[in-house]
Amino acid sequence: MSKRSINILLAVFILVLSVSVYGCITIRKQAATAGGAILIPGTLEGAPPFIPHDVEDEQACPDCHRLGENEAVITPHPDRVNCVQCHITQDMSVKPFVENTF
Amino acid sequence: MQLSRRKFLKAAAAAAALSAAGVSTDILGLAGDAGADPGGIRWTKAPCRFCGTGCGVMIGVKNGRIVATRGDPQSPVNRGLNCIKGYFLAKIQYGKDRLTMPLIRKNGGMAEASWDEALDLIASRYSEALDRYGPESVAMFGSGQWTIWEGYAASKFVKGGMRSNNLDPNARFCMASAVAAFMRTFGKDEPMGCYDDFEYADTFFTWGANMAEMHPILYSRLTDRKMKFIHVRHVDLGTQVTRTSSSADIMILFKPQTDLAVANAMANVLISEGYVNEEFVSRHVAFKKGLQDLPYGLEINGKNDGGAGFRDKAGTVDFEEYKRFVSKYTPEYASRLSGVPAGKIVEIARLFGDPARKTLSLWTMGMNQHTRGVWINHLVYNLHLLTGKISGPGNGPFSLTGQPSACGTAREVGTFAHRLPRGVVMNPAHRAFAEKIWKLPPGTINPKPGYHSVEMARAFDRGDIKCLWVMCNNYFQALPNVLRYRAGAKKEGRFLVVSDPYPTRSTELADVVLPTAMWVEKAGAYGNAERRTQFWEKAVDPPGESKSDLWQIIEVAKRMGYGRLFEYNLAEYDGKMEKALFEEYRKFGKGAGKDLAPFDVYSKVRGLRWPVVDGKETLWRYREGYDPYVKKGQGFYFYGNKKKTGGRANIWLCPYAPPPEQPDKEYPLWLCTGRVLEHWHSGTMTQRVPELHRAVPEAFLSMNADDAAGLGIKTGDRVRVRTRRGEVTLRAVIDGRNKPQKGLVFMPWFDEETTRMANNLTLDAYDPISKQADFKKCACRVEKV
Ligand code: SF4
Repeated sequence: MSKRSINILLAVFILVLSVSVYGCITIRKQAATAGGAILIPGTLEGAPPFIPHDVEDEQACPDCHRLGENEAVITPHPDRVNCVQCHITQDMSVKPFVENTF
Repeated sequence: MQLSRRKFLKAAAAAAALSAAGVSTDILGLAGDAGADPGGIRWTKAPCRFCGTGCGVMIGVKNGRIVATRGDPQSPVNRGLNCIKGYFLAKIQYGKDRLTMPLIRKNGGMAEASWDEALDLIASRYSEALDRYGPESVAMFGSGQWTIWEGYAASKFVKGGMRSNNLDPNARFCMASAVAAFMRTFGKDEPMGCYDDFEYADTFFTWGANMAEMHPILYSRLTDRKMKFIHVRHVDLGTQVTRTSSSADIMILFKPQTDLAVANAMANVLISEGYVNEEFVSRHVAFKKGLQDLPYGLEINGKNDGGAGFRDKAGTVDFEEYKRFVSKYTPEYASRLSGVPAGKIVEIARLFGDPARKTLSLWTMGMNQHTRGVWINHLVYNLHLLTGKISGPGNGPFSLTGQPSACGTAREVGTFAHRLPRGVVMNPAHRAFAEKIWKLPPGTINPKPGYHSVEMARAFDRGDIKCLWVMCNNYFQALPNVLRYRAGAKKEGRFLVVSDPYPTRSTELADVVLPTAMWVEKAGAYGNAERRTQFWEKAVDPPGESKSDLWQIIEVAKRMGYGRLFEYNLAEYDGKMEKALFEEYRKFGKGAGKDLAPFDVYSKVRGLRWPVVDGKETLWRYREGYDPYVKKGQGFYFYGNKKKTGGRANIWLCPYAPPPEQPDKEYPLWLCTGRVLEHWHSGTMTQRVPELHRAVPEAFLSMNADDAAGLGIKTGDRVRVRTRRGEVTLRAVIDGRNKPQKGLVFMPWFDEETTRMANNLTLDAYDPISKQADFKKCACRVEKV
């Protein structure tokens, strides 16, 4: 194994470790459009990524996200089953309730 | 904090050794509250601001502002995980409309005022009411979100200072039924078990509890256990299919209120099929029967039906009488009432009783917000007592709390109209005990219980209460049948003070609004649902002139001449009023089954579960080998009932009784109200987090597909919901996250938009024993608009 691939492996290992330690930590800030419909700005550091598409069946997330079917992001924690406890959708057409200065 | 690896390993080994010995760990300051990381962020610990699960979070502070929060990997509650509300805690303090100055109503508008002006006004209005109308005319409505010392200071101020017992918390909307039933069954409040039960249970029963949304982290511990062990079963009982039902092996949909019949029928099956743990019952159980025909706390033509002052009359019966009592509840009879197939009732009773399986019951508002809330709590304890499945790893009735310190503050400090930090105001010995600790002349504390939540609003409406101070909750959105009480608050001669960080439906009615420091803008302590007391340090300054509830209470008390109640030699307490109050409060629980550790210990640890005796926390109460109050050879000992039944727990004979309002021709559907994952209570904090607001921007109406089809309603249609009390207009959702049974609709109550406020609709009936309101059942009509 080359030094580079060992480094990559190590990086992946650390990433997986940090995910398992901190729960659903964001791996990278999400600015994806999927399904074409909803644009989501970067989420809060440390918060889980949003769901960037419509959800028809809340229980069906693993169908795609376990193995990456339909080009879905593969979940780093397939053992957690209540996906919508951490990952939520965003309706960007909604008027803000009040501005947040965070 | 910088620790070399060697030092870290040594520290970890020492911590492991200490925890094995049962001594609290983290004495080396690994709690993460020291030092800054490379980005200049200082991390400090706190329990989550929201639900009674009490997850630990780490808060990152830079330049006086919170810049990040994350799940605390060291917290034994959540082990680094949060639910979505927890992940966005960093934003709850930064809504742009934070109140920053006291406001006083002048010429019909609200004018900014100094603290002195606002506090002087409150003190003079309260003093004037006390002089002219006596202690019954002043009141305070508090919260299970108060810190422990805020609740304690409130109790001292109202009961020790003003000599009034008109102090009640929103916990009366939340878990008062559980409290009353715990007291009547075990002589002591709060669950005997702890969250470790989740990793031992073989069968989970969720009773009208949507944990996946309301206690998400505990729910993930449930699903974790179920995923890892194939034999684990989950039975979900409720009036609608929820996210929690997704992990259920058996789903029991019953008609509202008929849980009373189902639970009795399960007891019947346990007895008739030989699942009773005879040895346990003969040694540790007594049988009680109270009045069987109870009022509903309703006002009929302006007259209370007897619920307000209701006191139960109980007598002792024997096992044979109890057996005869439940024999009426055959599975077939319960099936006719509830709509649950008789075979299913038998099946879940057998699963419950299986001696080879450990059974954990979990519930919150479905059982507690119930006009027979104490009864249904009893009926579930009955099942655990009949089978002896209690007070041991994986076995027990586990009542979950909704609020972060419903246990720690409302229940343990006892900020209820009848309570003292130890005992009740009606008991002369309990009053004398409090008077001694509070250094008050004998006879100071008023022996007459005050107004409880709904009756407090009625008394304010009538004008019997002249001055009301609402703190740390949104009373005038949270009350059932709220339109009536909002109108009452607007009447002449009512003086309303509201303390809140943000403008709410309550502040808009107030004569004085006090800007309040929230969460980590002050030092605090909460007690979660597993008896875990957790502390946090102040992390950032509050905005503008905002001050903590504690400061506000003490300042008003001083101005009313009760300053002595809060005079301590603070030098003895590191200059901290919080420490002085906590050390005094601790005296109430010492030796009484509620021992707490010294103040300084909690600053370091990730919480401890009381009773904490000789530095050791207690995981399972009433059980030999776990609870220091149980002696060798006793096995089980329900010491809260030492005097009354020699330490036995009580099985209560509680019948089915119909609810006070049921669907009819005019209002043909059941209405159930509740919460959603993304929002907390009345939404004051969570609606101001843009991400949570965009996830669930407004209240909706969940409908059964058949009901919707019958009315020609599709998802997204606007519908009007009416009850005898008011109306709302919402968008309908069919087959969404809630799937109500036929004949029932559901709506969440977080939305403060007046046309979508759930409590425009609800009925202000309550359980006459616990005085807890029922937000889960009333009759409504739905039409497309
Ligand atoms: S489960 Fe409760 S305590 Fe835990 S993060 Fe969510 S709201 Fe906070």
